[in-house]
Amino acid sequence: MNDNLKDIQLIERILAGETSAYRALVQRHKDFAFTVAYRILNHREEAEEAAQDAFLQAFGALKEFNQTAKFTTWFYRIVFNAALGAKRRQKPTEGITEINALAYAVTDTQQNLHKKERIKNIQRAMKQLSADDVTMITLFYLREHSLEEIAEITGISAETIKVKLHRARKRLADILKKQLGEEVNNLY
Amino acid sequence: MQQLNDDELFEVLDGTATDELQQRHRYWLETNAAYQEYFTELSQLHHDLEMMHLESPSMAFENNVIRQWASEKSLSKRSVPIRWIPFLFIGTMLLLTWVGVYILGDTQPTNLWTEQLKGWNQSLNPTLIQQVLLPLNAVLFLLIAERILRKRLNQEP
Repeated sequence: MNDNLKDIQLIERILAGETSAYRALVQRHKDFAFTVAYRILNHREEAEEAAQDAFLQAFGALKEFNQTAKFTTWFYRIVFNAALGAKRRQKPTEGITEINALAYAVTDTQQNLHKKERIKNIQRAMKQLSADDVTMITLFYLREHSLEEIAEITGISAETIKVKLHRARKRLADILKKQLGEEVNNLY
Repeated sequence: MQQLNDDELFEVLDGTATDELQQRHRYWLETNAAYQEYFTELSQLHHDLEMMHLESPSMAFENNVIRQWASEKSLSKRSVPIRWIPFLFIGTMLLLTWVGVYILGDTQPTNLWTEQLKGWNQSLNPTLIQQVLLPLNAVLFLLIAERILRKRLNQEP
């Protein structure tokens, strides 16, 4: 069954008064909501709070949701705004200090260790990007959103998204290069 | 033939490049080692970003959301009568003021108690009621109404 259709069915069940459908909706979208918030905030507890806020806001506004639209686009916009709101309230030192223990769904062969290391470096580099850049990259890669969908979520035109996405990736590549240079220098 | 800039390279990686762009890309890839190295770097980053998977919140997340939602719902149900209390209070005040002024104005004193009430009533200046107490009530009413409306608007996502 189509993903959006499943969401719409769950929303219909919620509106009909079936409380268990709330949990099902949370189960379906919690990881994505959390990941977007976490990438923006760099702080697990704050990201959980922001994602939780987003769910509560979405539940409260489900009656107003236009069921012909895509639920994820509507919901991710709420998540994005909740995370940005939390980011604005965040103290400058927060989020940078937390060292993330990465979870990988790979086994530790030599090749995977390299891959692990590279992804760890990317995550470290992403912490130096702006919330805007991180959001573009996260939305584009994590669920393979189209530029039009990202535009709807962020409220920015698709053309601007394209430019921002290119620049964000370029900045990420530059930071990674710099990181690698520093690591090489530290070896000598 | 002009080399591809970063934006064009990302279009190649995203699979949205035009035929002309792809042709130029292939040409530079075959003839220029520096270009090849740079493209490999970006391509590696692109694939690594694709490999990154979703993070998971804590185990308690789901239950926290459901519990929080349940408590918000019950709070909003309980707070419905509470919301009407200020209106009820001000309404009753207005009604009692009006009833007091009119009844006491028309009643003939029959005993000490009503005589005493009549005396208080006469000491009340009707201008004071009209110009001070009633506008004060109206201002209070508007302040409370504004607070409730603001709260509701803030709750909307």
